[in-house]
Amino acid sequence: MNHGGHGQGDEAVQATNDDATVCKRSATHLGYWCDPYLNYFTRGPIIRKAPEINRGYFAR
Amino acid sequence: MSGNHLFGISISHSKTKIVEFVYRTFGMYHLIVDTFDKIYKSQLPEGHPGTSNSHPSTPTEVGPGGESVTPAATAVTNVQIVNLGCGSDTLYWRLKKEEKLLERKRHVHISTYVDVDFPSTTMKKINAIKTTNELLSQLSNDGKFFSCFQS
Repeated sequence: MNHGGHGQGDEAVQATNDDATVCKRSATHLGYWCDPYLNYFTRGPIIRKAPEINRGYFAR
Repeated sequence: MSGNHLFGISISHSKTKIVEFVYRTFGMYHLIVDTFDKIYKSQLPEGHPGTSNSHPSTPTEVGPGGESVTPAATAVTNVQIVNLGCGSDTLYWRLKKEEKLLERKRHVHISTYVDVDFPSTTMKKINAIKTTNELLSQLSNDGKFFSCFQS
């Protein structure tokens, strides 16, 4: 599975990080677990995610 | 989706992409071995063989009466963590916060922690660390930012 350097797949994978951070922030804000350091890596308002997502990240 | 195996570590598909990227750029094995060599050996005292990646040490604790107590069978094991596809993961700081507890309860000391990811992700992370005192102050004095993925 070689995309030859910086492929489109690489960018898609990198975008999952931003999404994960937003979701984790939502869950920690609601008190699913405590992570005081998460806020330093993201800016902007905290977006509230669906309960399934919050619980999913908590389980993970 | 079934996980792939690298050095016996079960990793998910997206992590595989990170590993592929690193492998394409440097060769995973050499990267990890070189990084460990540099960081780990620099932390060891002179004359230490430094070949095993876990060596028990006998920590000396002070008892309630001020006497020196050497706990039996509670040798602390040094562990090294490589976080493949770390993203914005805050695991380092969360573990650092529990450092004393980890040593006392689990007898584990984290000697080396390496975050590995795509350059664009690590550069953002490094920037966040450098501009945030709460994050920066938790790094050890000899902590280094490897910008070796910059192209």
